[in-house]
Amino acid sequence: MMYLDEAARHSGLFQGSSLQAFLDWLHQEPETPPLLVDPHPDEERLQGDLVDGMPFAIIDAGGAARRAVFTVAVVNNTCDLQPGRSEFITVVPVFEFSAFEGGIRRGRRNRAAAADFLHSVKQNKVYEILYLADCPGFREGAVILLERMSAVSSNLYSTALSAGRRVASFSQNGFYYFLIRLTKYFARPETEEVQRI
Amino acid sequence: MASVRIDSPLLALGVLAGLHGAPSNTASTLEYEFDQVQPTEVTVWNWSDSTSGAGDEISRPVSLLAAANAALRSMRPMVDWERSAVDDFFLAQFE
Repeated sequence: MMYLDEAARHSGLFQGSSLQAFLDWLHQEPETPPLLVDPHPDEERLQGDLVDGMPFAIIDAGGAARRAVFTVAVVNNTCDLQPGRSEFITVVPVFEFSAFEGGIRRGRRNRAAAADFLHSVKQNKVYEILYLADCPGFREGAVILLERMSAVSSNLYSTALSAGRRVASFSQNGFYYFLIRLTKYFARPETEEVQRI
Repeated sequence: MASVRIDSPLLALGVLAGLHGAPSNTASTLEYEFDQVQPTEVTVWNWSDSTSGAGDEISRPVSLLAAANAALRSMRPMVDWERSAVDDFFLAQFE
């Protein structure tokens, strides 16, 4: 296992004893360990927190804005979530895994392919989707669609916090994992075929 | 000779996550960081091209970052029909 320790140490993400704790946690079997716990009791605004009842908007193919209300995960760094920092926060949607699973199965005739895809999601092998095996508010599992972001007013975020609509916070190791997944999806290297001027 | 072995995609992600751990966001700093830890030989398991399914071991003198990238590229990509299914599910939430 020493080679694993060495490689993880090179990441620069961990300090002190957190490296070994993360490795121990990461290699638990068979799937990704639980990532989120109850909302942090002292820190009200944390990166990655799940917040219920938040508006979410997209621009559809016709150029029209469409709105829905979801549980969301807050993407901003904790420092940027503090009051007075910005008029907006950035969020990604969270869905019950059962609803997501149902949508995937209904949309595809090939049952085996759908099952294979869902299995990959649950193993956290799909870049764009963070699977949560079990967390407060989603005891049967949930998915976070990392690539679907929306800007939401900070006032609405504050209102949600005041109303007690925080659902969960990442654990320390879960937060490391969240950062790793965000990095993987948004900052992964381009293929060698991409040539920039 | 420094040597490091990456046999887990998640561990490769951890290496890339070093971007977050750099003391500043400048490219020069990142280059410095990786220069300090660059091994002379890296062993990477290549899952995607493996005929045995267990992964082929590739040992070659590359940077740690390049090794992490190689491990990441071997992870299973999302194919078009799966992307379409996720899009359909997502759009349905706005109806």
